[in-house]
Amino acid sequence: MERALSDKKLIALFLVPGLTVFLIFYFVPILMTAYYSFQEWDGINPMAFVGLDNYTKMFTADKSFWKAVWNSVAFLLTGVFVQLPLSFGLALLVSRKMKGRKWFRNIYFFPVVMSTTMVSLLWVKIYDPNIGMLNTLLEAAHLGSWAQAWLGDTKTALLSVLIVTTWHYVGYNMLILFAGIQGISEQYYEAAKLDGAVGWKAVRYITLPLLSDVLRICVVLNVIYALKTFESVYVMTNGGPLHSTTMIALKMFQEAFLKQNFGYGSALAVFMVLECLIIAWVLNKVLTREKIEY
Amino acid sequence: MFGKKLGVVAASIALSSVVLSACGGANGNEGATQNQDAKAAEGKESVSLWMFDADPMYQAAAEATAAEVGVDLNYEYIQDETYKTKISVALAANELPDVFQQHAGKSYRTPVLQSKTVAPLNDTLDSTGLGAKFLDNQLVKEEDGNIYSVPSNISTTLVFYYNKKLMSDLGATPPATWDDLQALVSKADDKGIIPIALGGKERWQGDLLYNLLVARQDVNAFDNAIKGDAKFTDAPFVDAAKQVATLVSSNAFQKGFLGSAYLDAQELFKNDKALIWIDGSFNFGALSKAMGDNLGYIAFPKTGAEDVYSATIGFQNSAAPYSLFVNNSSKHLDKAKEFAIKLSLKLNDEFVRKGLPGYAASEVKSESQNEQLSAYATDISKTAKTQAMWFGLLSADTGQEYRDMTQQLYGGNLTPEEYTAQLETLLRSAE
Repeated sequence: MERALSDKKLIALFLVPGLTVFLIFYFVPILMTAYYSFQEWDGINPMAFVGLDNYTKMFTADKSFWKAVWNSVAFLLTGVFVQLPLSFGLALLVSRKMKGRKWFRNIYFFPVVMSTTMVSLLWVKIYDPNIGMLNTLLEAAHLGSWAQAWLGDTKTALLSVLIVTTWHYVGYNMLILFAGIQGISEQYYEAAKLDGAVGWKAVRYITLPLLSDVLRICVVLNVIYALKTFESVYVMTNGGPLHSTTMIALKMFQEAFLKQNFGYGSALAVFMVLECLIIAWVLNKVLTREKIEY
Repeated sequence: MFGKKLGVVAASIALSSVVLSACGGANGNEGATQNQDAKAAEGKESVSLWMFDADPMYQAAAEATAAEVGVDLNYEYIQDETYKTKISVALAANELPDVFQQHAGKSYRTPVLQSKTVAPLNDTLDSTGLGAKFLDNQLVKEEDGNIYSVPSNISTTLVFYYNKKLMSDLGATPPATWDDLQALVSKADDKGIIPIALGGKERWQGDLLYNLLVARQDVNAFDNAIKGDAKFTDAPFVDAAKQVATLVSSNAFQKGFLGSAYLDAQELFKNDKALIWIDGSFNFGALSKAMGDNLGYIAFPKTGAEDVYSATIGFQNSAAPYSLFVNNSSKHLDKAKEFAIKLSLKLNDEFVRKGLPGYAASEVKSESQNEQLSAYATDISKTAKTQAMWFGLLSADTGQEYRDMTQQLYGGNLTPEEYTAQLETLLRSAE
């Protein structure tokens, strides 16, 4: 067995089937999509080569494209600067040795196990300005002036969707961070306690530095999720009203499958793939640092 | 460079890998051949059928037709919005079922014909003698002289429904003119009743209301403008756009209507929260069942120079009606053709039974209609013109852009003048 594991040719041979499937179903479609992005094509009639026209249209003529980019940035920033700190706070709370912490952990994680479609439909009902629970509660609390047409108003629609995605996935990051916190030895905290580092100081000087690798993974996952967001927006607003919640993935779907612009839809897909790769690479570069050991 | 089918499948995998989890619901594209081998082993031919109409009448008619023709039926209902996506991918990849339904309008029919995946039905229509049963002009003859489809729905139009209970609570009567409508909107809004429920999320209701408001200004405005004899910036278009803006500013629609789904908005009307509901005549049955005598109907008010019987907006399009097509790669092509034609006639019988005007001769007797449906049938017989909804006359990408633009008018992002100027640019360039 050990001989087999040290035989690089044999290892390569075993990898071939998986790699072949991966290449056929992942890289080939991406390459073909890149090819289609240089065509004008409705999916039925013959393609016509249009060079960079689809990309020119994307960057210069399609106003909702930049709106989609901005919305992706909003999702990205919310994921990193709102959802992640919240998840970290919850992870700290459920890490404390207190009664019912398991119960709290399950409660916070519960939304994650629900399907995005179900969560989105649930919140559509909650947000409904005419019969929804949120406005009814606000009115019952004599805060009727705060009632809004949450998903139906361009001013509040994006924020409303962001709240839902934050609520939905906060438990996911919490669980990853919780596992990271559990991996930090108690000895560090005891030693720090002797030096007077308790409470926030312990978090600042022990927990956060030792959790940096886990945090990096969370940041990368959050960013990639933000850039690819589709399902929640599709169900809750379909990108509206007036493109205020549109996303690149949603535009890609609408262009290819509703407008039958497979060429332009492919260009948007290529943009999204490159965007994800570049940002993930940059994040890895920026956030990678030497491992801290005490 | 690449085969078309391989191309579409590959593009779909790539495009869908990130997004399609929410658009599922139905099973994958089984296509015409799935299950057929198993059925063939049993000695009976099978026909697969895709439909988007949710009314159980369609499945019942299909099952009865299958029994009559002597085939096993693989019936698949696919939710309307999902269907539009699924059928466009299936068309491009030639993964169609034996028989399938398609929406009305150029943007839906043209890709079907261009895909060269559907079979001409002339031979079966002639050999069975069933072609003679269809009324004049109900079978669309394409440029090559062939008939590729049979009707699957009767002509349906935009209807002004109202809630009788709420109308009575307000002490008001249904509006007959634009001034009446404005006064009614104001009165309902003052009493905390939603004047008009509108599903703005899908955009089509607002789009069709605008079409009708234009037709009330000038019944030939759209036809003249699209032919180039007039402009989309002319008075009828601007005045109708101003009426939309007036309705929006006077709170005619529910809070957040731009984000409201069609079915959610419909619930407001059915549950006595909204006074008026503007929807297709295809919903008479479902609304009557849900609301009973509480459902009211009137011909759309005289909101412009034209009278109420001058025109209505039709979901059908005589050149591109709701249709049944047959896949020319079907393993049982002859049976599939016979099944499609007989299903069309069976559906016609069901429409006639309900007291609706069919598209073919029928020996079925009409059942008694409710009062509202009778009034509608009378009004339609008096209506001089059915203007096909504009969206159905446009290509897929122009149609979608047009609906986006109309939503901006409803959202106040465009003034009536800006909207009509952009309309002129968009529709003129689409010509």
